Amino acid sequence: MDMQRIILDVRGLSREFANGKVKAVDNIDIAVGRGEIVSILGPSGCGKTTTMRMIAGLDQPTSGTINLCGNDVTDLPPYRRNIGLVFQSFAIFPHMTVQQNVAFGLKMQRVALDEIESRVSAALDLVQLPLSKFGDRRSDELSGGQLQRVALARTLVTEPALVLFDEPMAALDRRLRDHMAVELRAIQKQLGIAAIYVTHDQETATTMSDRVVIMNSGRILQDGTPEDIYLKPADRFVCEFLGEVNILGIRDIIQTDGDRQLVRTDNNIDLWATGRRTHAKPGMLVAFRPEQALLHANDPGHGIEAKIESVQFRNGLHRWKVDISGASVIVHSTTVDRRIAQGERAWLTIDADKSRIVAP
Amino acid sequence: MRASFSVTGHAGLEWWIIRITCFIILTVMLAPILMVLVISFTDGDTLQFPPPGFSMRWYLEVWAFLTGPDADLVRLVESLLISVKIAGATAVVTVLAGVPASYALVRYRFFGKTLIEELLGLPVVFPAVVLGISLLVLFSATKTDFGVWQIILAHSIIGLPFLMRNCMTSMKGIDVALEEAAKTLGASPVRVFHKIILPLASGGIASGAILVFILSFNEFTLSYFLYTVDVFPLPIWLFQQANTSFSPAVFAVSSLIVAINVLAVLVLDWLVAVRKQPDRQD
Amino acid sequence: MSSIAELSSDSVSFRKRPSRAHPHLLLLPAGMLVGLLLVCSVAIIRMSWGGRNAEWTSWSGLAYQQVVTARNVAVIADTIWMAMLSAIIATALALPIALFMVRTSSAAMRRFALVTILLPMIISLLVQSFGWMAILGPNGLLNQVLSVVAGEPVQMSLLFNRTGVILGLVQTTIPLAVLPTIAALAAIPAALEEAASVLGANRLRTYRHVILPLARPGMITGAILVFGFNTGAFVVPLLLGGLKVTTIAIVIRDQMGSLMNWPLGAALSIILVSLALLVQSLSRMTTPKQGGKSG
Repeated sequence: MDMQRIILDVRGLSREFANGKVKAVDNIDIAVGRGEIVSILGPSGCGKTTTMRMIAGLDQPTSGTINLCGNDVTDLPPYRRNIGLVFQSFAIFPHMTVQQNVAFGLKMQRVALDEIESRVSAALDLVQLPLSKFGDRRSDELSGGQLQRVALARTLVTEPALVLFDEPMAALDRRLRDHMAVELRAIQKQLGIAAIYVTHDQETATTMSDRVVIMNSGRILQDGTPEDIYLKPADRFVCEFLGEVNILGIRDIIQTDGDRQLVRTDNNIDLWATGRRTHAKPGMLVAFRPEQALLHANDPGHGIEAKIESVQFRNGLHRWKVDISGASVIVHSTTVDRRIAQGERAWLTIDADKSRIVAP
Repeated sequence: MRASFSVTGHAGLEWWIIRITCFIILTVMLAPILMVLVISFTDGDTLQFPPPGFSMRWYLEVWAFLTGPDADLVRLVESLLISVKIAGATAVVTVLAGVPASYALVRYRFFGKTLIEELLGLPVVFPAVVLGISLLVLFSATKTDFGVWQIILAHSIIGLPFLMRNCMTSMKGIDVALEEAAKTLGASPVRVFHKIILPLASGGIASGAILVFILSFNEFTLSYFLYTVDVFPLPIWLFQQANTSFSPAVFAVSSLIVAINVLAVLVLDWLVAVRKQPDRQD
Repeated sequence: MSSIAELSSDSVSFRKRPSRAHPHLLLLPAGMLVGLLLVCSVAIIRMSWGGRNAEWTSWSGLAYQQVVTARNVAVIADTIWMAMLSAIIATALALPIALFMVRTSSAAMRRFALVTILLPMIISLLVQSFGWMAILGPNGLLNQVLSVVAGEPVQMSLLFNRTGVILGLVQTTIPLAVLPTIAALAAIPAALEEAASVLGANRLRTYRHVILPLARPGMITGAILVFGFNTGAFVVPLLLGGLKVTTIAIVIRDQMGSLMNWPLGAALSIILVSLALLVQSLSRMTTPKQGGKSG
């Protein structure tokens, strides 16, 4: 990561349940810098929520340390950590007004009353819920989007060093969610706070964050920019989790040229591919995205011969399902203007640095 | 080992405080019952605690009350039988009155429903002393004597809401579609009630009936005002004994009552557990 | 307390009901039982306005004048006071029990605790009073324990005075306080406690600002139930109060029985019933509406 000042530094964090039989989180490292927003992305049960809860202090790690602004907070209870958390359910206190909800954290910090008032007012302005209009409302008088804004204001008002978001938009509908994601990002950048966003929705994760951490089965599979993890995935799980992908097995390595290698696939196709760190070995995979392969009507010379199985036109894109030596792959891009019909022959080319060697 | 804290009070000092306080309170709440059980096994002549020794002595005494030559004099058998008779009859009466009423309240809308609901809930809050006294006055003013039925009626009045509460919970779990299906298949309303409602609500009705049985079996206040020389329920017998000769024999009889009560509670608990599965709506 | 009304007031069960059948016929047997109760009430009202020894034939307001004499007012105040005190104690004791039952992860423990708190409600009051007599008596368990603790013989008399009666009242009615408290506590999402913690509240402040305010409606409902139940207390004061502690119910017994002042007994009965109805309507106001919010 870059040389921004590190706000959160998690080292070797593990959480075991049932006396070590279940490892919910298995020896992970995460760092978040000032002003950075990092998404932890993974399917449900991957350990992302447990990780977030341990960072907040709501759950205790079996081993590992959590460092916040240079202080070890691993053994501190949540109320001594200065970490903000926006809950999935928003967790707005139903017996308090909006104003009392937002003031709660400041009251706990024993901030002077007049200061509480001005800070609450400013926080509510920030989320566009003016105090004069919304201050006296209770949670049952607010919409889902408004509840989220109150939760956000309540979290930001105490100026935490780090804000955690636990899929706070899962409760909202798609349109509102997109809108809130943009707003959330704007507010976070405006205040320059560090944030961790926990989600299983790859679209939200990639649009919102500076960095994405992919988790599965309690481990971090990849940690990188959204572009990185999309274009240079580490393994099959990451590829498939982030969208449509074509995957072929590697049988043999024919030639090596730097980090590029000419590999022979299980179905006897030779193609150039690029590895992320490791070189290809038989048993590894080569993966490419449907939009990264090109379909040609005539053989450009080094193309892979393909037969069109079916064509669909969706969202302004052609979607060809083609057969290459017995393997079905999906391709979106073409050099021809026309629709290549089902059963026709075609040729496929893939850039060497766009077909990736990944771990199985 | 890491420092232990819990933000929802499931661990650490807070959890220990809650557990210990809870344990102490529950112990105190059970103390009187346990005390009766312990003292009933004394081999001494008094209610002294701790007992000088333990024996079945007072249970043998109670056995003598039941079967010995003085049995007629002590009247324990008679009281026990009359109590069982009253409790059983009360359960039957409340079922006969409560089940149709529950069905009406669960399935129908009609004018004055809210008022009727309020009235049917009234016996729960109505002070037993007042009910007992006014029934006594009423029976004597009208110069009627229903014998054992006086107490059965009185117990049925206070037992009814308890039966209906259980019964209605059960009936609410029955999908209206089941009844409608039966009707479209040609079942008359009476057959629908008999073949669909009764079998499906039987768990609730049974647990309600058991509850009413215990309630009536233990009931003291109403019986206190309505008993006669011929109708002398067990609680009244106990009270009389306690006032005349407060011997450990009274505690032995009390222990037997506790045993009957606990048995009934266990059956009730079992019924509720069984009922939970098919009844759950969501 | 108004179990029937609560149960049927949520509208789950009555979808489309254009029925021809007459539900009133189904209500008839139950109606007759409740009718008897109403007849009793009317009889009591009539009797309270009757003259002594001529309750059905004459009219007199004397009984109500007797109700407001110092002695009877003292008994009424005393009854209300004891019911109130027992309600407060029972509600306070109900909190740790309810917290335990809501938080324990062991289903067996929860069930055990539930049966334990329900037993005092179900088992014969008379039998439990006997147990209390053995505990509170001059040589009872309590004095022996206290003697051991104090190191010298303690002869505290708790039997036949108000303390003993209140103990008995609390013990026999505590389930009424525990059940609504459990319901209220169980309805608090864990996220609210966690939110309080993340926002800087320690456990004590979480109790003060989040848990207790949210549990309050349930606790008030419980307190009102205990209060209502204990205003009519009869068996417990009869056995544990000896002749020294009198409640309205016991005075009614005395007036209707040995003292033969039926109109006064009836007038006091009306006071007692009014108290009960007042408490019931109070509990209706404080009990949160069902189905307002689901988890």
